[in-house]
Amino acid sequence: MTTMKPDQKIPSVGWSSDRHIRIVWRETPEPERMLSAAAAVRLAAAEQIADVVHAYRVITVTVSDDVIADAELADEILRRVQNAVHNGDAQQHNAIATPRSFNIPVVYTGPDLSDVAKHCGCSVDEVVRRHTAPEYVVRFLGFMPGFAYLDNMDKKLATPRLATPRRSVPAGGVGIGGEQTGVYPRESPGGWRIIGQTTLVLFDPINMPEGLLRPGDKVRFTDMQSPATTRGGAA
Amino acid sequence: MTRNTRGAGGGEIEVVAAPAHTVVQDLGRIGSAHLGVSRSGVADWLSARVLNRLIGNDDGAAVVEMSVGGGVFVVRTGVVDAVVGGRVGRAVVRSGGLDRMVPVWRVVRLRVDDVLRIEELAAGEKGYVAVRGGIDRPRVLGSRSTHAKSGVGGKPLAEGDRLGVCDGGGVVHGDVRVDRDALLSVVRVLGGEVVRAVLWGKGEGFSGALVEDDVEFVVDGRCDRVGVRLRLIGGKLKNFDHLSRSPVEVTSPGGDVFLSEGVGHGVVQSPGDGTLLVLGPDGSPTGGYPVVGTVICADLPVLAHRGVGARVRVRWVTVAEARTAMGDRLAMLDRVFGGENGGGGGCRDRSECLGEEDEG
Repeated sequence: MTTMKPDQKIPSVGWSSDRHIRIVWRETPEPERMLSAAAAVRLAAAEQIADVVHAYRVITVTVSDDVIADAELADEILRRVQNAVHNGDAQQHNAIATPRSFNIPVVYTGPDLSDVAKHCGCSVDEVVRRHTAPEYVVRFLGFMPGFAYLDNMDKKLATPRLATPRRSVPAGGVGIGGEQTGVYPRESPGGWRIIGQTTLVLFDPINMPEGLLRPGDKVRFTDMQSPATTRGGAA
Repeated sequence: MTRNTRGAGGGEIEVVAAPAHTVVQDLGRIGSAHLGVSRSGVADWLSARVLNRLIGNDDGAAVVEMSVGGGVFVVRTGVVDAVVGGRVGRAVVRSGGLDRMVPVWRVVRLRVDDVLRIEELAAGEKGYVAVRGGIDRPRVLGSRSTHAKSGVGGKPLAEGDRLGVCDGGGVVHGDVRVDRDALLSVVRVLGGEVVRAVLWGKGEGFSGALVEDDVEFVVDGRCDRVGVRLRLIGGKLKNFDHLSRSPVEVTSPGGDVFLSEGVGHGVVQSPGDGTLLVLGPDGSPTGGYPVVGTVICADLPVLAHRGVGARVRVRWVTVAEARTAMGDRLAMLDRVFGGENGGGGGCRDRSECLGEEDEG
């Protein structure tokens, strides 16, 4: 069992425990590359892979229980994962799920909206304008079910997280944390700056436990108070 | 005609009393971690597998997990074969107005109005009740496990809750042969203090064996299904001296999002405040804190029973050693049931297996 040498573009692949394989890039790869690698890995060893979780620079593969004590099988799985990562088709993620587009309607009033405006040196209206301008992409999900980390936020809006997280952010809270933006799908403690509120359901433990958003999906925020508002949901 | 021709299972249990964190769990919810859904599942897979095999269930049948004593359950309909395990010190059945102690790790037959009480289980240790057929509740994303924080899989059990029991099949056939010595070795494992872990290399990627000496911790503060906090009391983590420095700024729950990566049950994080946090089954599937290492699967059943104030001696091992240790656990599991696939052979002593005799 060998570990591939780390390189800027070529990730290292190896066991971090008896049940996790870490695929690590030294520099953050393009999201498409990451999604493709994750998809390729899933396809390469489907029966022996329990989960594949990707974030910015690491894909974590959890193998199924029957692999843990079986050194030979583990070696085989590692080989297949290495092969999938290094030789996988760059567009493979599209075979798993076609990205969808969503509009998230937001009422832009929130406890931290004026703090964010002050920090960014602009008016509240400009914060709203800049927040509703981009097309965001779901980078990955984590922290809690249905919580999507969104890419492409206007860097001017970047605001550090709260020093002390709030004990309770309401479900639907739209927040900014550093250079990230996202929506709390359910009431939760949270350290992000809350600038608005949506009623769009992003997660429900009974009716939508898998959550609404998936990696690669596109998202736009729309200001409910503006005349050009559109209704939320899949576009 | 024997009294056991009618199969158990298909009955209903009512919760009379449920201390906090009493939850239904199976072996966990897999395949949804990339959606932010925790695996959950039992904290102690060894107890769950032993109990399910004792009672003739598949290993993945849903059981009740408790984190402190005081649970009380009554049979409302049907005949329910039950078995108690984990670190329960004392369980009692009230039947026909009379209390009798039931041996842990032995199947007991409960009839309508029989009451099962879990009397002794220290806080933070785990106790389990398995029933023949398994707890019946709808699967959510493939599993009957409960993730209390998000509500996926339902809520913790409360007084008045009714639990269905899956039909265990026609004839009672789960009177398995049990090797007592092997069972006692399982019980000893659960009370252990040594938890082996694979150390992560410094920097990125897997760098092989960075061996450190044993390190002593005490469980301090958080101790629940989300995580267990460890405070260093002896030894040193040579490659993680930041643990003894003053706290570093923590930027958000889960740490700096740019460090976020997939984590899971047994992953050991350094939150930057001088302690270590070992994630439990309900921990978030991603986390941004730096990672020190991962507790080996073979020792998750040991970790499960380390409550507040308990000592944890962490011993660093390689991945190869972790696999061997897991093989040892599975061999121990097989030995409990005296052969392949658990169960098999006829019942050696039916009344003993069903706990009919009062062994005092």
